[in-house]
Amino acid sequence: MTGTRAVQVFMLAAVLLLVARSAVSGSIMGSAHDFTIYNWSGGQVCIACHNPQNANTSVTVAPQWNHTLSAQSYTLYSSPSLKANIGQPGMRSKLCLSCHDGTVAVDSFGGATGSQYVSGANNVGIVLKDDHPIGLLYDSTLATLNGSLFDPASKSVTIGSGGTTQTGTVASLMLYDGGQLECSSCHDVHNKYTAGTRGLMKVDSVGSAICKVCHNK
Amino acid sequence: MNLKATYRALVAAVWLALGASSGTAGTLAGSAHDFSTASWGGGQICVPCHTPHKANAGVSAAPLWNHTVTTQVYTLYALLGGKAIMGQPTVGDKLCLSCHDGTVALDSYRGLTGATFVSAANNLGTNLGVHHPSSFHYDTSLATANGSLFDPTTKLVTIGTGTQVKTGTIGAILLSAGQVQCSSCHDVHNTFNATTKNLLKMSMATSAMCFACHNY
Repeated sequence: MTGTRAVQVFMLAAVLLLVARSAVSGSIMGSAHDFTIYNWSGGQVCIACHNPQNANTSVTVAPQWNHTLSAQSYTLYSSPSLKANIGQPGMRSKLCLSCHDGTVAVDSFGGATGSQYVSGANNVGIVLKDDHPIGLLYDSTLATLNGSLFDPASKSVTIGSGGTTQTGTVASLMLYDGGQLECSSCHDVHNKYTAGTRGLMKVDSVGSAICKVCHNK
Repeated sequence: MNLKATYRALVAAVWLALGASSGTAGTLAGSAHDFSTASWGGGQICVPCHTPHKANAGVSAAPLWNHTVTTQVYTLYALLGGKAIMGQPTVGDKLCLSCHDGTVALDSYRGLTGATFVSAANNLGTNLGVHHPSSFHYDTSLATANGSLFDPTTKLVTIGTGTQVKTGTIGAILLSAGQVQCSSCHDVHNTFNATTKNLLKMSMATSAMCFACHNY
Protein backbone atom coordinates (compact mmCIF):
# COMPACT_ATOMS: atom_id res chain seq x y z
CA MET A 1 0.00 0.00 0.00
CA THR A 2 1.45 3.34 -1.00
CA GLY A 3 1.39 6.33 1.32
CA THR A 4 -1.38 7.99 -0.72
CA ARG A 5 -3.42 4.81 -0.79
CA ALA A 6 -3.07 4.45 3.01
CA VAL A 7 -4.35 7.99 3.46
CA GLN A 8 -7.32 7.22 1.18
CA VAL A 9 -8.20 4.10 3.16
CA PHE A 10 -7.86 6.03 6.42
CA MET A 11 -10.17 8.78 5.14
CA LEU A 12 -12.74 6.23 4.02
CA ALA A 13 -12.61 4.52 7.40
CA ALA A 14 -13.00 7.89 9.15
CA VAL A 15 -16.03 8.78 7.02
CA LEU A 16 -17.62 5.38 7.64
CA LEU A 17 -17.00 5.75 11.37
CA LEU A 18 -18.68 9.17 11.41
CA VAL A 19 -21.68 7.82 9.47
CA ALA A 20 -21.92 4.85 11.83
CA ARG A 21 -21.80 7.16 14.86
CA SER A 22 -24.55 9.42 13.59
CA ALA A 23 -26.64 6.35 12.78
CA VAL A 24 -26.61 5.24 16.44
CA SER A 25 -27.33 8.70 17.81
CA GLY A 26 -31.01 8.96 18.54
CA SER A 27 -31.02 5.50 20.02
CA ILE A 28 -32.18 4.25 23.40
CA MET A 29 -28.79 2.54 23.71
CA GLY A 30 -26.60 4.59 26.01
CA SER A 31 -29.49 6.91 26.96
CA ALA A 32 -30.89 7.40 30.47
CA HIS A 33 -33.47 4.73 29.62
CA ASP A 34 -30.88 2.12 28.68
CA PHE A 35 -31.15 -0.11 31.76
CA THR A 36 -28.54 -2.65 30.73
CA ILE A 37 -26.01 -1.19 33.16
CA TYR A 38 -28.19 -2.08 36.17
CA ASN A 39 -28.09 -5.51 37.76
CA TRP A 40 -31.88 -5.66 38.01
CA SER A 41 -32.31 -5.40 34.23
CA GLY A 42 -30.69 -8.75 33.56
CA GLY A 43 -28.72 -6.91 30.90
CA GLN A 44 -31.81 -6.06 28.89
CA VAL A 45 -32.94 -2.69 27.55
CA CYS A 46 -36.67 -3.11 26.86
CA ILE A 47 -37.87 -5.58 29.47
CA ALA A 48 -38.50 -3.09 32.28
CA CYS A 49 -41.32 -1.60 30.23
CA HIS A 50 -42.20 -4.11 27.51
CA ASN A 51 -42.46 -7.87 27.36
CA PRO A 52 -43.02 -9.98 24.25
CA GLN A 53 -45.09 -12.44 26.29
CA ASN A 54 -47.65 -12.13 29.08
CA ALA A 55 -47.98 -8.37 28.73
CA ASN A 56 -50.60 -6.28 30.54
CA THR A 57 -53.24 -6.03 27.82
CA SER A 58 -55.27 -3.49 29.81
CA VAL A 59 -52.63 -0.94 28.79
CA THR A 60 -53.52 0.22 25.29
CA VAL A 61 -51.43 3.40 24.95
CA ALA A 62 -48.14 1.47 24.82
CA PRO A 63 -47.55 -1.99 23.41
CA GLN A 64 -46.81 -5.13 25.44
CA TRP A 65 -46.70 -3.36 28.79
CA ASN A 66 -44.66 -5.12 31.46
CA HIS A 67 -44.11 -2.71 34.39
CA THR A 68 -46.27 -2.60 37.50
CA LEU A 69 -48.59 0.41 37.25
CA SER A 70 -48.72 3.07 39.91
CA ALA A 71 -52.06 3.16 41.74
CA GLN A 72 -51.35 6.62 43.10
CA SER A 73 -53.87 9.46 43.12
CA TYR A 74 -51.93 12.69 42.64
CA THR A 75 -52.17 16.20 44.04
CA LEU A 76 -52.73 18.16 40.86
CA TYR A 77 -51.21 21.36 39.54
CA SER A 78 -53.11 24.54 40.26
CA SER A 79 -52.44 28.24 39.84
CA PRO A 80 -54.60 31.38 39.97
CA SER A 81 -53.82 32.15 36.33
CA LEU A 82 -54.42 28.62 35.06
CA LYS A 83 -57.06 28.40 32.33
CA ALA A 84 -56.81 24.68 31.55
CA ASN A 85 -58.81 21.97 33.29
CA ILE A 86 -56.39 19.62 34.96
CA GLY A 87 -57.38 16.05 35.67
CA GLN A 88 -55.51 13.04 36.99
CA PRO A 89 -52.65 12.17 34.60
CA GLY A 90 -53.71 10.27 31.50
CA MET A 91 -52.65 6.64 31.12
CA ARG A 92 -49.78 7.71 28.88
CA SER A 93 -48.30 9.73 31.77
CA LYS A 94 -49.19 7.08 34.35
CA LEU A 95 -46.81 4.73 32.55
CA CYS A 96 -44.00 7.24 33.17
CA LEU A 97 -45.14 7.86 36.73
CA SER A 98 -45.04 4.12 37.38
CA CYS A 99 -41.32 4.65 37.91
CA HIS A 100 -41.06 8.43 38.29
CA ASP A 101 -43.55 9.01 41.13
CA GLY A 102 -41.28 6.99 43.41
CA THR A 103 -44.08 4.69 44.66
CA VAL A 104 -43.29 1.70 42.44
CA ALA A 105 -39.78 0.22 42.24
CA VAL A 106 -37.98 0.49 38.93
CA ASP A 107 -37.51 -3.29 38.99
CA SER A 108 -41.20 -4.04 39.61
CA PHE A 109 -41.94 -5.72 36.32
CA GLY A 110 -42.86 -9.11 34.95
CA GLY A 111 -44.99 -9.70 38.03
CA ALA A 112 -42.05 -9.21 40.44
CA THR A 113 -42.01 -6.61 43.19
CA GLY A 114 -38.71 -4.79 43.06
CA SER A 115 -36.71 -2.79 45.55
CA GLN A 116 -34.78 -0.26 43.46
CA TYR A 117 -36.37 3.17 43.26
CA VAL A 118 -35.79 6.05 40.89
CA SER A 119 -33.13 8.54 42.06
CA GLY A 120 -34.07 11.74 43.87
CA ALA A 121 -33.46 13.95 40.85
CA ASN A 122 -35.69 11.78 38.67
CA ASN A 123 -38.41 11.32 41.29
CA VAL A 124 -41.29 13.65 40.44
CA GLY A 125 -43.14 12.54 43.56
CA ILE A 126 -46.89 12.31 44.11
CA VAL A 127 -47.48 16.04 44.49
CA LEU A 128 -47.69 17.26 40.90
CA LYS A 129 -48.46 20.81 42.03
CA ASP A 130 -44.78 21.71 41.66
CA ASP A 131 -44.52 20.28 38.16
CA HIS A 132 -45.64 21.61 34.81
CA PRO A 133 -49.28 20.60 34.38
CA ILE A 134 -50.08 17.43 32.44
CA GLY A 135 -53.34 15.63 31.81
CA LEU A 136 -54.88 18.68 30.17
CA LEU A 137 -56.51 19.46 26.85
CA TYR A 138 -54.39 21.97 24.92
CA ASP A 139 -56.45 23.22 22.02
CA SER A 140 -57.08 26.46 20.12
CA THR A 141 -59.66 27.52 22.73
CA LEU A 142 -57.13 27.20 25.56
CA ALA A 143 -54.55 29.14 23.53
CA THR A 144 -57.02 32.00 23.06
CA LEU A 145 -58.10 31.98 26.72
CA ASN A 146 -54.51 31.98 27.96
CA GLY A 147 -53.37 34.70 25.58
CA SER A 148 -49.71 33.76 25.51
CA LEU A 149 -49.85 30.22 24.17
CA PHE A 150 -49.49 29.40 20.49
CA ASP A 151 -52.38 27.70 18.73
CA PRO A 152 -51.33 24.02 18.71
CA ALA A 153 -53.33 23.40 15.53
CA SER A 154 -51.21 25.80 13.50
CA LYS A 155 -47.91 26.32 15.36
CA SER A 156 -45.12 24.46 13.61
CA VAL A 157 -42.40 22.68 15.57
CA THR A 158 -39.32 20.69 14.62
CA ILE A 159 -38.42 18.01 17.11
CA GLY A 160 -35.10 16.22 17.30
CA SER A 161 -31.67 17.05 16.03
CA GLY A 162 -29.14 15.83 13.49
CA GLY A 163 -30.44 13.08 11.27
CA THR A 164 -33.57 12.40 13.31
CA THR A 165 -35.92 15.33 13.01
CA GLN A 166 -39.60 15.67 12.37
CA THR A 167 -41.58 18.79 11.57
CA GLY A 168 -45.28 19.28 12.06
CA THR A 169 -47.80 21.11 14.21
CA VAL A 170 -47.61 21.06 18.01
CA ALA A 171 -50.88 19.10 17.95
CA SER A 172 -49.52 16.41 15.65
CA LEU A 173 -46.08 15.95 17.23
CA MET A 174 -46.58 16.76 20.91
CA LEU A 175 -50.20 16.14 21.88
CA TYR A 176 -51.95 12.83 22.28
CA ASP A 177 -55.39 11.26 22.44
CA GLY A 178 -57.13 14.24 20.84
CA GLY A 179 -55.01 17.10 22.14
CA GLN A 180 -53.92 16.00 25.62
CA LEU A 181 -50.64 17.29 27.01
CA GLU A 182 -48.77 14.50 28.79
CA CYS A 183 -45.18 13.77 29.88
CA SER A 184 -44.36 12.62 26.37
CA SER A 185 -45.30 16.02 24.95
CA CYS A 186 -41.85 17.25 26.00
CA HIS A 187 -40.04 14.04 26.82
CA ASP A 188 -38.72 11.54 24.32
CA VAL A 189 -38.91 8.28 26.25
CA HIS A 190 -36.94 6.21 23.72
CA ASN A 191 -34.38 8.96 22.95
CA LYS A 192 -35.43 8.77 19.34
CA TYR A 193 -34.74 12.43 18.67
CA THR A 194 -31.66 13.16 20.82
CA ALA A 195 -32.29 16.84 21.41
CA GLY A 196 -29.84 18.07 24.02
CA THR A 197 -27.82 16.02 26.43
CA ARG A 198 -30.16 15.37 29.35
CA GLY A 199 -33.80 14.96 30.27
CA LEU A 200 -34.64 13.03 27.09
CA MET A 201 -36.18 16.07 25.45
CA LYS A 202 -37.91 16.33 22.08
CA VAL A 203 -36.58 19.88 21.68
CA ASP A 204 -33.37 21.11 23.31
CA SER A 205 -33.65 23.28 26.41
CA VAL A 206 -30.90 25.58 25.10
CA GLY A 207 -32.43 29.05 24.90
CA SER A 208 -35.46 27.46 26.63
CA ALA A 209 -36.50 26.35 23.15
CA ILE A 210 -38.67 23.53 24.53
CA CYS A 211 -40.68 26.05 26.59
CA LYS A 212 -41.09 28.45 23.69
CA VAL A 213 -42.56 25.77 21.44
CA CYS A 214 -45.89 26.43 23.17
CA HIS A 215 -45.32 29.56 25.27
CA ASN A 216 -45.37 32.72 23.19
CA LYS A 217 -43.01 34.78 25.34
CA MET B 1 -35.88 38.60 -14.85
CA ASN B 2 -35.52 42.24 -15.90
CA LEU B 3 -34.18 44.96 -13.64
CA LYS B 4 -37.62 46.21 -12.65
CA ALA B 5 -38.77 42.72 -11.68
CA THR B 6 -35.56 42.18 -9.69
CA TYR B 7 -36.14 45.47 -7.87
CA ARG B 8 -39.74 44.49 -7.08
CA ALA B 9 -38.62 41.10 -5.77
CA LEU B 10 -36.01 42.82 -3.59
CA VAL B 11 -38.56 45.26 -2.18
CA ALA B 12 -40.93 42.38 -1.50
CA ALA B 13 -38.16 40.43 0.26
CA VAL B 14 -37.26 43.40 2.47
CA TRP B 15 -40.92 44.00 3.25
CA LEU B 16 -41.40 40.35 4.20
CA ALA B 17 -38.26 40.40 6.34
CA LEU B 18 -39.47 43.51 8.18
CA GLY B 19 -42.92 41.93 8.60
CA ALA B 20 -41.34 38.80 10.01
CA SER B 21 -39.21 40.74 12.47
CA SER B 22 -42.17 42.78 13.74
CA GLY B 23 -43.94 39.44 14.28
CA THR B 24 -41.25 38.36 16.70
CA ALA B 25 -41.10 41.72 18.50
CA GLY B 26 -42.27 41.54 22.07
CA THR B 27 -40.40 38.40 22.96
CA LEU B 28 -38.30 37.57 25.97
CA ALA B 29 -35.38 36.49 23.78
CA GLY B 30 -32.92 39.35 23.43
CA SER B 31 -34.56 41.37 26.24
CA ALA B 32 -32.91 42.31 29.53
CA HIS B 33 -34.53 39.20 31.03
CA ASP B 34 -33.03 36.82 28.48
CA PHE B 35 -30.52 35.01 30.69
CA SER B 36 -29.35 32.56 28.05
CA THR B 37 -26.17 34.54 27.39
CA ALA B 38 -25.28 35.08 31.08
CA SER B 39 -22.39 32.95 32.30
CA TRP B 40 -24.60 31.54 35.06
CA GLY B 41 -27.73 31.00 32.92
CA GLY B 42 -26.81 27.58 31.57
CA GLY B 43 -27.88 28.78 28.13
CA GLN B 44 -31.54 28.87 29.14
CA ILE B 45 -33.96 31.77 29.31
CA CYS B 46 -36.79 30.67 31.59
CA VAL B 47 -35.11 28.54 34.23
CA PRO B 48 -33.79 31.22 36.65
CA CYS B 49 -37.46 32.03 37.39
CA HIS B 50 -39.48 28.99 36.29
CA THR B 51 -38.93 25.25 36.19
CA PRO B 52 -41.05 22.45 34.76
CA HIS B 53 -40.35 20.19 37.76
CA LYS B 54 -39.79 20.56 41.51
CA ALA B 55 -40.99 24.16 41.59
CA ASN B 56 -41.74 26.16 44.74
CA ALA B 57 -45.43 25.34 45.10
CA GLY B 58 -45.74 27.92 47.89
CA VAL B 59 -45.54 30.75 45.35
CA SER B 60 -48.95 31.41 43.84
CA ALA B 61 -48.26 34.79 42.23
CA ALA B 62 -46.32 33.19 39.36
CA PRO B 63 -46.38 29.68 37.95
CA LEU B 64 -43.73 27.02 38.65
CA TRP B 65 -41.42 29.29 40.61
CA ASN B 66 -37.76 28.31 40.70
CA HIS B 67 -35.82 31.25 42.20
CA THR B 68 -34.95 31.61 45.88
CA VAL B 69 -37.40 34.12 47.37
CA THR B 70 -36.02 37.05 49.35
CA THR B 71 -36.76 37.16 53.08
CA GLN B 72 -35.87 40.84 53.40
CA VAL B 73 -37.94 43.27 55.50
CA TYR B 74 -37.94 46.62 53.68
CA THR B 75 -37.98 50.26 54.66
CA LEU B 76 -41.25 51.42 53.13
CA TYR B 77 -42.22 54.44 51.10
CA ALA B 78 -43.60 57.08 53.46
CA LEU B 79 -44.00 60.46 51.78
CA LEU B 80 -45.75 62.89 54.07
CA GLY B 81 -49.31 63.34 52.83
CA GLY B 82 -49.40 59.99 51.09
CA LYS B 83 -52.98 58.71 51.01
CA ALA B 84 -52.28 55.08 50.18
CA ILE B 85 -51.83 52.49 52.90
CA MET B 86 -48.39 50.97 52.53
CA GLY B 87 -47.31 47.53 53.66
CA GLN B 88 -44.42 45.17 53.08
CA PRO B 89 -44.20 44.06 49.43
CA THR B 90 -46.77 41.43 48.53
CA VAL B 91 -45.66 38.23 46.91
CA GLY B 92 -45.73 39.40 43.26
CA ASP B 93 -43.31 42.19 44.14
CA LYS B 94 -41.20 39.87 46.25
CA LEU B 95 -40.54 37.74 43.19
CA CYS B 96 -39.00 40.76 41.43
CA LEU B 97 -37.15 41.81 44.56
CA SER B 98 -35.71 38.30 44.83
CA CYS B 99 -33.13 39.52 42.32
CA HIS B 100 -33.62 43.28 42.41
CA ASP B 101 -33.15 43.98 46.14
CA GLY B 102 -29.58 42.77 45.86
CA THR B 103 -29.83 40.33 48.78
CA VAL B 104 -30.31 37.14 46.74
CA ALA B 105 -27.97 36.17 43.91
CA LEU B 106 -29.31 35.97 40.36
CA ASP B 107 -28.09 32.41 40.16
CA SER B 108 -29.78 31.30 43.39
CA TYR B 109 -32.30 28.94 41.90
CA ARG B 110 -33.10 25.25 41.76
CA GLY B 111 -32.12 25.11 45.42
CA LEU B 112 -28.58 26.35 44.77
CA THR B 113 -27.02 29.41 46.33
CA GLY B 114 -25.46 31.61 43.68
CA ALA B 115 -22.78 34.26 43.75
CA THR B 116 -23.65 36.69 40.93
CA PHE B 117 -25.74 39.65 42.01
CA VAL B 118 -27.82 42.12 40.03
CA SER B 119 -25.85 45.10 38.66
CA ALA B 120 -25.81 48.32 40.66
CA ALA B 121 -28.06 50.06 38.13
CA ASN B 122 -30.70 47.34 38.53
CA ASN B 123 -30.36 47.00 42.29
CA LEU B 124 -33.23 48.75 44.09
CA GLY B 125 -31.77 47.91 47.49
CA THR B 126 -33.75 47.33 50.65
CA ASN B 127 -34.82 50.95 51.25
CA LEU B 128 -37.99 51.22 49.18
CA GLY B 129 -38.56 54.73 50.52
CA VAL B 130 -36.65 56.10 47.55
CA HIS B 131 -38.76 54.35 44.90
CA HIS B 132 -42.29 54.83 43.61
CA PRO B 133 -44.58 53.06 46.10
CA SER B 134 -45.68 49.54 45.27
CA SER B 135 -47.84 46.84 46.90
CA PHE B 136 -50.76 49.11 47.78
CA HIS B 137 -54.43 49.20 46.77
CA TYR B 138 -55.27 51.73 44.09
CA ASP B 139 -59.03 52.12 43.91
CA THR B 140 -61.64 54.81 43.32
CA SER B 141 -61.46 55.97 46.97
CA LEU B 142 -57.71 56.47 46.73
CA ALA B 143 -58.11 58.38 43.47
CA THR B 144 -60.67 60.65 45.17
CA ALA B 145 -58.59 61.08 48.33
CA ASN B 146 -55.48 61.89 46.32
CA GLY B 147 -57.19 64.28 43.94
CA SER B 148 -54.76 63.93 41.07
CA LEU B 149 -55.03 60.25 40.24
CA PHE B 150 -57.36 58.87 37.59
CA ASP B 151 -60.10 56.49 38.69
CA PRO B 152 -58.59 53.06 37.88
CA THR B 153 -62.04 51.58 37.20
CA THR B 154 -62.81 53.97 34.35
CA LYS B 155 -59.53 55.41 33.00
CA LEU B 156 -58.52 53.60 29.81
CA VAL B 157 -54.89 52.89 28.95
CA THR B 158 -53.25 51.34 25.91
CA ILE B 159 -50.05 49.42 26.51
CA GLY B 160 -47.52 47.96 24.08
CA THR B 161 -46.45 48.59 20.51
CA GLY B 162 -46.77 47.03 17.07
CA THR B 163 -48.69 43.79 17.08
CA GLN B 164 -48.68 43.57 20.88
CA VAL B 165 -51.21 46.15 22.00
CA LYS B 166 -53.81 45.91 24.72
CA THR B 167 -56.40 48.46 25.80
CA GLY B 168 -58.46 48.43 28.97
CA THR B 169 -58.94 50.14 32.31
CA ILE B 170 -56.01 50.75 34.63
CA GLY B 171 -57.60 48.16 36.92
CA ALA B 172 -57.65 45.53 34.18
CA ILE B 173 -54.36 46.24 32.44
CA LEU B 174 -51.98 47.62 35.07
CA LEU B 175 -53.13 46.49 38.50
CA SER B 176 -52.71 43.08 40.04
CA ALA B 177 -55.63 42.12 42.31
CA GLY B 178 -56.32 45.84 42.70
CA GLN B 179 -52.77 46.61 43.74
CA VAL B 180 -50.01 48.65 42.19
CA GLN B 181 -47.10 46.26 41.89
CA CYS B 182 -43.75 46.31 40.08
CA SER B 183 -45.60 44.64 37.21
CA SER B 184 -48.02 47.58 36.95
CA CYS B 185 -45.36 49.50 35.05
CA HIS B 186 -42.87 46.77 34.23
CA ASP B 187 -43.36 44.09 31.61
CA VAL B 188 -41.27 41.23 32.99
CA HIS B 189 -41.54 39.06 29.85
CA ASN B 190 -41.18 41.96 27.39
CA THR B 191 -44.54 40.94 25.97
CA PHE B 192 -45.41 44.47 24.94
CA ASN B 193 -42.01 45.65 23.76
CA ALA B 194 -42.89 49.27 24.49
CA THR B 195 -39.39 50.44 25.45
CA THR B 196 -35.83 49.55 24.61
CA LYS B 197 -34.83 49.56 28.28
CA ASN B 198 -36.37 48.93 31.68
CA LEU B 199 -39.05 46.61 30.24
CA LEU B 200 -41.93 49.07 30.55
CA LYS B 201 -45.54 48.58 29.50
CA MET B 202 -45.69 52.12 28.08
CA SER B 203 -43.17 54.53 26.66
CA MET B 204 -41.43 57.12 28.83
CA ALA B 205 -41.60 59.61 25.94
CA THR B 206 -43.59 62.60 27.25
CA SER B 207 -43.79 60.56 30.47
CA ALA B 208 -46.73 58.57 29.08
CA MET B 209 -46.18 55.79 31.61
CA CYS B 210 -46.60 58.23 34.54
CA PHE B 211 -49.65 59.91 33.03
CA ALA B 212 -51.43 56.57 32.76
CA CYS B 213 -52.39 57.08 36.43
CA HIS B 214 -51.31 60.59 37.38
CA ASN B 215 -53.68 63.30 36.18
CA TYR B 216 -51.45 66.33 35.72
